[in-house]
Amino acid sequence: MIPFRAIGLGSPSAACGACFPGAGKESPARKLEEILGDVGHQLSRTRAGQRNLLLMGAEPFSHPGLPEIVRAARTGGADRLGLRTDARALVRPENASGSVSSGVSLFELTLAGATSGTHDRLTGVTGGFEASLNGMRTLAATVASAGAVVALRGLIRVCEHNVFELPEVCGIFASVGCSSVRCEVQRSARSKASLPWFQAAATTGMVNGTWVVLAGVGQELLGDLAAHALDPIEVQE
Amino acid sequence: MSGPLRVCLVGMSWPGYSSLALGYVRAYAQTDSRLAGRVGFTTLDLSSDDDPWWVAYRVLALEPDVVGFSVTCWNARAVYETCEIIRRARPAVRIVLGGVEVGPIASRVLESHSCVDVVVRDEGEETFADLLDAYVRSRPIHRIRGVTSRRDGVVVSADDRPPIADLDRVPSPYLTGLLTPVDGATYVESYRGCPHRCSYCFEGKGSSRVRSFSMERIAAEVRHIATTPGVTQFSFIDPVFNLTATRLEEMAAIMEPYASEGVRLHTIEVDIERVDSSQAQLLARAGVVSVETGPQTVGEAALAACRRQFDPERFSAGVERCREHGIRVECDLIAGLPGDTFEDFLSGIRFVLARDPGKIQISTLHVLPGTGLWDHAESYGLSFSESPPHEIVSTAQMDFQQLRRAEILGTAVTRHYRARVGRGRG
Repeated sequence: MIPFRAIGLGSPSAACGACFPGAGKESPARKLEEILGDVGHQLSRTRAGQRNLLLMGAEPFSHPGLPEIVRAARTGGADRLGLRTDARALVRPENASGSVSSGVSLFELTLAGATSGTHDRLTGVTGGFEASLNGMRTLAATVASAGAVVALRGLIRVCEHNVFELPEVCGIFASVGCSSVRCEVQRSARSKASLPWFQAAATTGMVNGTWVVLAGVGQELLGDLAAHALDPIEVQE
Repeated sequence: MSGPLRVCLVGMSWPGYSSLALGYVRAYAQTDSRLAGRVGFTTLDLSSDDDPWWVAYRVLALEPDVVGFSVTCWNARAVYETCEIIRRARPAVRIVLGGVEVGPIASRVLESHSCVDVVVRDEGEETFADLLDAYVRSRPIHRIRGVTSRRDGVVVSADDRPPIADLDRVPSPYLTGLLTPVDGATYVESYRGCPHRCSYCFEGKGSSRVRSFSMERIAAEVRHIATTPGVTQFSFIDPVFNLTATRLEEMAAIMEPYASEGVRLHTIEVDIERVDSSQAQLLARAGVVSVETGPQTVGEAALAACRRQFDPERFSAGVERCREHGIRVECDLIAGLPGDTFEDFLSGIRFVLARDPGKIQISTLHVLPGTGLWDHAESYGLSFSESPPHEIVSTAQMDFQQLRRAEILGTAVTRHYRARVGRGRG
């Protein structure tokens, strides 16, 4: 629906290391000049109103050039600018408020589970779950106190190792004010056995006013949940 | 009766807003020579979120003889609860309701709410003044035109009262000092009635005949508001601001001197398909910074059921002309209109997103008393809540779950859409 162009920063974000090779492992950040070139290229090929960028692929707050990238996107005429982040760095209020005040309009927050046991094991980051939760709460409080028009959205890559926590993950995202949650369902979780979790996740979102997207699942499997394949945001990589 | 009749008018809308309807009713009654020296007024502008117990407390602290409420679908529940409390605490107080929520279903309101004494139907100014006159003189009220009341315990409705032909007879609540202009929360009405008969809407209040205040009166109100210190923005509640090209020119001429000084008009409702370059220029001259418009739906069956016209090309052109003149457009969609499938609803979202209007508002249908959809709900297969705000439960095309999904998806789309770089505070 609302198109975003992906700008890759480097290493992947939180996901199951067993299902997604490379997840949780830091890879070198892309060079700043390359990223700025991408930003300029994507902005120049998109018409006004649709100049929406999502900085993703690596934890943006670990990239030393983030302020410059955000500035370049803003001065280059970006209409919407998103960060995909595990939110750990947002526990520092200056990161949260700095991002909001510098023009970031969308935070796509990632989790790999609803408990520290699952999340930390899948991401390989001890203490990561608590740090992410604290960062999300700091961000939500910052957005609320600033009265900023900023959208929050959740992202979870779903596999057989975390599908059973999907409803609770959606509940967590809803509790910090996410308008939507994208559940990217990996092959190992695309089965009838997962349907009750999909159903519960969608329902958890509905009763909390958050739209849950079940991506990567065939319409025939989703059945009555087919509408949940719709995503308000379309990230074009 | 010893001493003047004490009348308390209660508006329950949003914090910071004053009820224009109650302003009219009071302004008219205060200039009625029959009531001079015999009636004293107090107006309480409160919020529909206020606790009905404390609303009742504030009202009763004024020791009123008559309490009048302006009722919409949004505040009706709170009003009814407040009325119940007032009735039990002070049984002798006369409770009078008016407004779009109760007027079209006056008998039903009295039958289902024993705490309510009178419903004033349609335009309230003349009827309420007549009602107060009857109270002052201890005369019967059941023959007052436009009044629905009880006679010997039976609900009776007097004849309808024709609309006020010369609107200038209704004094301005602003020019009489009853309402103080507030920046961003001030509304002006330049005419009543609506040329359109959209079956979900009651803005025309059942009348397709348009009656206008005189341009002199409108100009005087605009001058008063626009020159009030601190007021930089206000709005008009007219159903269609660009009613005719000539009228738009006149309105632009009235507004231009203040627009050139920085006064702006926000959220003006327009027929976007009529907005060409010339109209967009006039809107800009009038200081309009944002307009609100449809399409409400793009589904052919729903458009027919709602008696609405929709030309996607003209609509898109209108949005573009506004954008060229720096005017933000708010596009409205309604989920749950009769005839619309979930796919039609999605088509509507995709259509407005592709126009990139600046703001999108998606709401679910409320089947309002007095509308065509209320009258023909069964034949359209509409199931809705009997209680205000009468939200749609299901339609022949969309079941309860689909409608709720449409609602939550629509909310997510609007929130993601409005979050833009540099948008700052909400």
